[in-house]
Amino acid sequence: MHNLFKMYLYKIRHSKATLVMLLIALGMTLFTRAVTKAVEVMIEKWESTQEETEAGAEDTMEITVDSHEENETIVDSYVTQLKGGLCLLFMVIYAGIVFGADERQGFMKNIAVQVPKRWKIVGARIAATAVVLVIFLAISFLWEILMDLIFSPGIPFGAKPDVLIAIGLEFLLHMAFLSLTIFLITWWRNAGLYMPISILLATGFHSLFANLFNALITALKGELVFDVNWLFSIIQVETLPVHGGGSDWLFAGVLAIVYLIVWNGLNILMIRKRDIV
Amino acid sequence: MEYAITTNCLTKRYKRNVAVDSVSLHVKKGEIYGFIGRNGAGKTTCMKVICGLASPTAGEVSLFGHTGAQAAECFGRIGNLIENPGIYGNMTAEQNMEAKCILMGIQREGYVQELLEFVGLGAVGKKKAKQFSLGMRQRLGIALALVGEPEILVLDEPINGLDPQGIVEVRETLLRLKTEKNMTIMISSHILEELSKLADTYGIIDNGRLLQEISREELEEKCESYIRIRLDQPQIACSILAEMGISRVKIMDEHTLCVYERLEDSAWMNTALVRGGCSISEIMVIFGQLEDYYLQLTGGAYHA
Repeated sequence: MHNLFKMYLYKIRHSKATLVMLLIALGMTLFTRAVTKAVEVMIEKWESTQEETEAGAEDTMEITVDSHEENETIVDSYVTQLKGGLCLLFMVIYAGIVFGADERQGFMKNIAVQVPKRWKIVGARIAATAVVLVIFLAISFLWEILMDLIFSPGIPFGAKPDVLIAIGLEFLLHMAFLSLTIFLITWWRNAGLYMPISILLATGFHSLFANLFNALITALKGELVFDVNWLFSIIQVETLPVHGGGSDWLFAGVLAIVYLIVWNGLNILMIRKRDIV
Repeated sequence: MEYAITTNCLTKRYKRNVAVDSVSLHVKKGEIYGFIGRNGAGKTTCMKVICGLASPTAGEVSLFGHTGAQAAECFGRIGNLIENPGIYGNMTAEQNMEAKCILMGIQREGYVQELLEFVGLGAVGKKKAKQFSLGMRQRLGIALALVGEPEILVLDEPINGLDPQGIVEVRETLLRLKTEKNMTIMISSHILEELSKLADTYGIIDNGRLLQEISREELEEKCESYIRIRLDQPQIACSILAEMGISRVKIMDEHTLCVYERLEDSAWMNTALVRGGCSISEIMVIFGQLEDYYLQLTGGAYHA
């Protein structure tokens, strides 16, 4: 498994998909920030024009733009971006391209003979993806700082512990989805099936899973009230806390343990005897 | 006798289709085993199961005398080229080889270049694999299979797409691997003539069932040469030949006779039969071939 992990890192280094994905992601971030800023400026100008008209105008509209001024710090802004799911979407597509190539181009025949235990193949892929995700998160965080310096000067950075906790939690959540995607890639071997499902999960259920785990933490602390409000809270927009101490670490720990158990369980039950080619 | 590969009632079923049906084959250590069968006979599936790429529905595979989990540990000692060569098209030949070396934990300076030259790709190592011709891809596939100096080589139609020179080179390479490195080679091919120059033992499979395993020596005995005579009265010809002391004669049909001895006396037989009143339309010495034996065994036309 160690050698397979190194082989995947070697392959990722020589893969164009890595650079292309990074450039597209950074480019899209720049584009959306620029558009958002342009819209903000237009709205400000329009509002200042409206203020100059006679008082009592009944049709004045107030338009608010979800701008970065509503986020307290650069860290908040970055975590909001991560929760948006674009990073996860990119990583899911990337994993599909890179690891799906093993099946499409037949290199799996070389791998599977040397690594007969299927769970080791899944494990090596997940480990390699984790390395790529860490690098991608680091680069995108630096990019976020640059974007904020350009488009939202004066915004505070945020406390260092908050950076670690917030980004660490998002990393775990991303890895949970990516682990599931990689498992599907290895088990299903049919991009027509696993890619749409993985993308759907990544974009549609990111918040749902985070809220479910949040609820689990609350339940573990004995604070959960099982009523219809709880049910509605699960499907609300992401409520994962950015700040805070112990409960976030507990969240991360439970999340890590649960998805490792699920992943291992899926491997043991479904993938062990499956034909790899 | 030590066997490198044995299968015991190996069966592989895909839903209702039985691709491999209770196959028990034996590949001796250090020999070249020729696996013969028509398209869809089950050769590739059998090879996949032997290499651990597919799980058997029933039966077991034994590698170097080990079965079960111990056999799984031996998969790393197998090099394989099954169906199309597995290569990353967007990487160069050297990078593909490097990736395989990393996978096998090999860090030897010049090893990749050495193997590429061994298969005749030394000059195109920096070319992307997707730009290779079919023959070059086959060669790269063979090179990948040789990484790590495996003890067993499983090759599924490795000479597909190769030019005549390439076929000769692969043949010589395989023979060299067998004699110099005592490598066990299991090879399937549709080109029976080529296989007949390589293999020590043949396994003949049809419709998922192993019909026969036969050594080269036994095959030579069974594929004996004969004289085929087309004439009007084979019964009379038999009598004439019997008077001449020739007994190993077989009437194939109402106009064809086959003689299995004294092949060097075909001219004398011709003279004797004509003097005896037979009208001979054709007399020919037929040298026995693997192909004839295969067709005889499978009972049909050979669809390669």
